[in-house]
Amino acid sequence: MAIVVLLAQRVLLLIGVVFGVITIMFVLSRVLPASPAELMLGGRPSFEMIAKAEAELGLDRPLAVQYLNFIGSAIRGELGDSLLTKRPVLLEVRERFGATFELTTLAMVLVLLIGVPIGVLSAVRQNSMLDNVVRTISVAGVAIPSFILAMSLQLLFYGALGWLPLQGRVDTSILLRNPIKPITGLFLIDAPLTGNWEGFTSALAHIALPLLTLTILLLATVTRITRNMMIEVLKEEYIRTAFAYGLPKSAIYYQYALKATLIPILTVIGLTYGNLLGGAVVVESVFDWPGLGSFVVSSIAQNDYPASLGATLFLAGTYLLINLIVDLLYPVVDPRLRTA
Amino acid sequence: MTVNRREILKSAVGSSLAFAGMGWSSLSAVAQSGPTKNTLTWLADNSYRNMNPATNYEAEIFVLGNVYETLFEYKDGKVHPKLATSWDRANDAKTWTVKLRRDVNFHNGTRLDSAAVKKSFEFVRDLGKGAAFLYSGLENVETPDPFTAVFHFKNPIAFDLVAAGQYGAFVIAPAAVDKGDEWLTQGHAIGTGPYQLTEFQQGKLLVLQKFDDYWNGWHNGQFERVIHPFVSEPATRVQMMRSGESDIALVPVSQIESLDALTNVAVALTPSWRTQLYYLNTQKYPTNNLKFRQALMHIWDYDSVLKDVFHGSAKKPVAPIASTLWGHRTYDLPMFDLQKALTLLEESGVPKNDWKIKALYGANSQDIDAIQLFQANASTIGLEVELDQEQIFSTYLSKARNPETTGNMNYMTWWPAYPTPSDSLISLFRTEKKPTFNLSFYHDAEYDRLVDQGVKLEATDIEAAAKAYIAAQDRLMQNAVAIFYAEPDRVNAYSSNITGMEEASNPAYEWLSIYDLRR
Repeated sequence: MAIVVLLAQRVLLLIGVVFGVITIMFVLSRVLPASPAELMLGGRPSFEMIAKAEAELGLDRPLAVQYLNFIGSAIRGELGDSLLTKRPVLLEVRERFGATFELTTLAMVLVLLIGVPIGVLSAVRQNSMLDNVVRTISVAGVAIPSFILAMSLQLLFYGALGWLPLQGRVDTSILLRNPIKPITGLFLIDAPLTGNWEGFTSALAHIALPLLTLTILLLATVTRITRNMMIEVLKEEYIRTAFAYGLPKSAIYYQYALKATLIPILTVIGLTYGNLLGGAVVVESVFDWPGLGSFVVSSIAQNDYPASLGATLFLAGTYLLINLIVDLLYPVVDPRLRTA
Repeated sequence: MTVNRREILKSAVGSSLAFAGMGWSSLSAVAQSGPTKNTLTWLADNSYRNMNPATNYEAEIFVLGNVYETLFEYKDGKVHPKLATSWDRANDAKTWTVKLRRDVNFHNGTRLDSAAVKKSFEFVRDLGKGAAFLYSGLENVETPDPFTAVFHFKNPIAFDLVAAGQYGAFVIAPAAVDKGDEWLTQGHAIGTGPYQLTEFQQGKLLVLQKFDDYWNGWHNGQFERVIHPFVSEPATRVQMMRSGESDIALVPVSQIESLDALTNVAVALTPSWRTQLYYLNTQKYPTNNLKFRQALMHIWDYDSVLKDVFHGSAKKPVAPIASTLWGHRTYDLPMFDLQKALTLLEESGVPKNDWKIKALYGANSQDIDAIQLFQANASTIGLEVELDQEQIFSTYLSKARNPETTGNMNYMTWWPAYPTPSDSLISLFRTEKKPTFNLSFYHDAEYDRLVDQGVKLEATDIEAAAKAYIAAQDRLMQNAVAIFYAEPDRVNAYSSNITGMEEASNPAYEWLSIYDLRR
């Protein structure tokens, strides 16, 4: 019952926040001095042509009417057409979301599989050689700018070794001869589902460098958090008691200690994952990864307001949804929260 | 079957070695595959969005110029026939009779005729977007026979120049016009050019295929297929050029020397009609003072900017109009001279406390470096320059147009839509009640009269028009309305086994003519 109440509270909060984001984005798009109508027309339109185009876009109506129209359309799932591509914003977003989701989800999975055990080991062997190495790499991972890391990996794996492709999501030959048919939008799933093994190999090779970049960057945070939390937990009396009872070390570390650190780790992962789904903008740009981040940036840079509004709304919703899921996982991890 | 840890490790190492052996080069692989061998891989630095030649006014023109053609072509200072064979102007320059080639087919196999030309130009005019302003005076097009088109305009017009322009002048097949704006915008095309647009994946790549039935024929060594993927990151484009994965790419000027030193890559610097300038605001204090503006022109270190910011890929302008365009005069533009600048500032009568200006500029790295150098030089003689950068061009424009937020110096890069000085002289400096591009806020009745006279004469007497334009430019120089600081070249890195880069470049057009390249 408590979970149902929590869920209801969170969903209401989510709706409120999405509504707030829509309002802020709408106001921002209207207070910018630039004219979307001018962008739509291109070239060097006269003021009369701009005024006519503004009327077509409804930009000449009172702000409140524009706002209500926008809210109404958003509720109906109509985000309008991009001023530049003339394609529905929802279609543009959907096409790019798969690329971002695939990259960031894989990165998060890798980070969890590698970062948490390393953090635990580092805490258990505090001040050992392993711990020192992990701490050094973690600090470097947090400190290094993402574009430097991305370009260094490109230079090494493409430039010097020639092992991995430099950019894009699949080879050009795949795009032209044997494109991966979209089912889920995730190439690493769609390619095997459709028997396109050539596409699968290419997608795997292409995701390697951006994935490695993101993983290294995120690994640092997750490893540090896990290590620090574990060190604190290992000082707790119930852990010392467990040792005194002679319980196996692995059980103490992974069943008792690690469990107690999961709440902060989950929080960090939820926030980081939500942020990444908004587009790992720098990494996407360096690797020409056709994800949402680069789309949002180019829409904002070109003042394509339906595209930037629609994409931001989508991103805000996704971010909140991820964090809702994280909130719902808390009681699963910590039973005390089920009755709180 | 069970899989143990050792087997997993073995297969992981095996996969790594397999990748290592591959030596990744996905583009060269596709270039050598398929039915056609001579494929050009050419990297795009822009994500193309609007592929409609009737409305496009942006970077897509790089591709569209290889797919569509114009009635006339401007080259080496003259108008030449292209899809037209000859043309005749009525005395009033309001009516133009154009004879068409009889051997031209569109990519869908239909014949180019006067009805197609009529439909195409009226389509551009009626859509009213992009460069349609050039055709706003088009009343109608008569088609007395299949290969004669008679254009009627409300006012005198230099139609041969306008229709030799790079925007809005392409002839589009009737079948494509019937499909409409949206169909064309989304990457479909039917033109008469040497290449057909066969594949367009928005934000990813496009493919051009040789049009076998091209009226000008084909020769050995020309490219049969062009793969044009979008690679946004300049550093990535440079790496792909270095590795041989790409044949042509626009590269940052800072890479010119290092790429040119490679044996497999050459760098072509080809002239353009682009001019980079800083408007000097003639209405805003203290640049509303002529001597103050003249002082600013002497603070600009032209040579250092050209050498260190542009790495030799730009020329010092000789006039407000690009030196390769008709109607310019070679002026002795001011020299970098801080002492002279200081003297002029003192003579201006502006109190020393007010020696403060704002410079508004964009996101291009060269703009940033150049204006920062200006700021440093200005500070040595006591002039304070506040730098105000606007990353988004449309926001920059709105800010620069607003008298409350505009700068004393406002940045611009300009190139004409068609081969005429009037495009720059009118757009940039003619009096406007509400400025669109006159960001000097320059009001000069005599200047306006001269450029208007130039436009009228352009259609009938080009030499007299040039004189009027030069007289107008004299006034711009006398009144110190802008710092014209660079005529940048186009910087293309290309594989050294490709020839014809010079023939493929024409300053009148932004695009590279792939048809003129050979391997």
